[in-house]
Amino acid sequence: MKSNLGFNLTKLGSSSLLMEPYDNLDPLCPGPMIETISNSLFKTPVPKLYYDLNKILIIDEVYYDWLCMLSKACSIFQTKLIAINIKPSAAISLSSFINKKPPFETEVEMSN
Amino acid sequence: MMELKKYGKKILKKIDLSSVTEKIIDAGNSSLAKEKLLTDEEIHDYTYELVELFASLLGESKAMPEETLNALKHLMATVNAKIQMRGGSTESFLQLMHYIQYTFMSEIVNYENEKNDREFLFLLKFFNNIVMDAFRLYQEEREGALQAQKEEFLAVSTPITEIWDGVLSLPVIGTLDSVRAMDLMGKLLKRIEEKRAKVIILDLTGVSSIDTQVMHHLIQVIRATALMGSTAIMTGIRPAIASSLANLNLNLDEIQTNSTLAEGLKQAFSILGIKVNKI
Repeated sequence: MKSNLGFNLTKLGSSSLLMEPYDNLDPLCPGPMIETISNSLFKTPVPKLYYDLNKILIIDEVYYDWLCMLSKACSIFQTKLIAINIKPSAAISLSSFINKKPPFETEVEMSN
Repeated sequence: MMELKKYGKKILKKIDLSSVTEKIIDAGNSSLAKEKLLTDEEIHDYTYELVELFASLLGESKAMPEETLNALKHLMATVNAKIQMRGGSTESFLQLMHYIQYTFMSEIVNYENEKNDREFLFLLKFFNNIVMDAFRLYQEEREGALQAQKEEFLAVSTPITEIWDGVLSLPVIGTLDSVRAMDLMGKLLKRIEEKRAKVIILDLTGVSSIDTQVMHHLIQVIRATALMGSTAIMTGIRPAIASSLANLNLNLDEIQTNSTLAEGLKQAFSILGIKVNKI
């Protein structure tokens, strides 16, 4: 599903969704995006939502807040948010301002 | 430099260059050659070259003889570097330069009982400026060499090896400061991305001491590693370091530890779901 909100959502079998953010995803306006994802998870619940950070070079506090909000929304539907393909620069920027584990999981790549 | 045009040629007419060259060679032989900082041949060749360049500079009709000046500065930096390489100090080099200055100035002082005050003062200023410039050039080159050595040390002291599919080992050697920690983090995360590594073993056997700041750096490395989806295991923690860690006011919950690299590897296998059986 291609969204006008700046991301692509792809169903992977029956157990997961893949969310790929585009450049025009606006973390300052999470509302509409959360609504779209929530609708999708409500209609077709899945245990995992993979968030592909391959194109994100820096994660600042705004972007981190967006990910935390998304994780919270996913947990309402018993879905785990898993960030994958995090770039070294994004990991360094994020680790410089958080001092505890994020509420979402992180993996090197999608697991089978 | 306008003064060079004004006094340079006048001074040159008053100086017997071959006499100056011979005196400097004799002085060089009795000091630098004796201390084996320069060979007789080098003293001879360098003296001739230096005197020729000084004379060229004095006889220049241009106000800013850049080419000659640069050639002179480079030659002086070369001589200084050679003296240093053979165990001499910058003092030895400066003594040589002061002797050259003294020899030139003596020629002026003794010249036909004329009043040569202005030319004398000009020569003093002339030599001081050139020697300072040459010294600055040498310092820049030395700092460049030191920086290159530092970078090479950084590269050698943080070797990252893939010891198993998806398992990277990073032995930390020596003192870990902020610069090394950032360098280590950058290299490690890049390798995690390249190799899709799921477990990193940070071995601290080579670390002699650890303080709060160093631990902060390591925790940041471990945190960044976890954000990339890898699990970091710290091994080789000596009793002294364990005591230091226990005394530090830091949350160590996010750190997995093991006493040896071997134990760390076993834990890595467990994380990866790998079982090792004897044949």
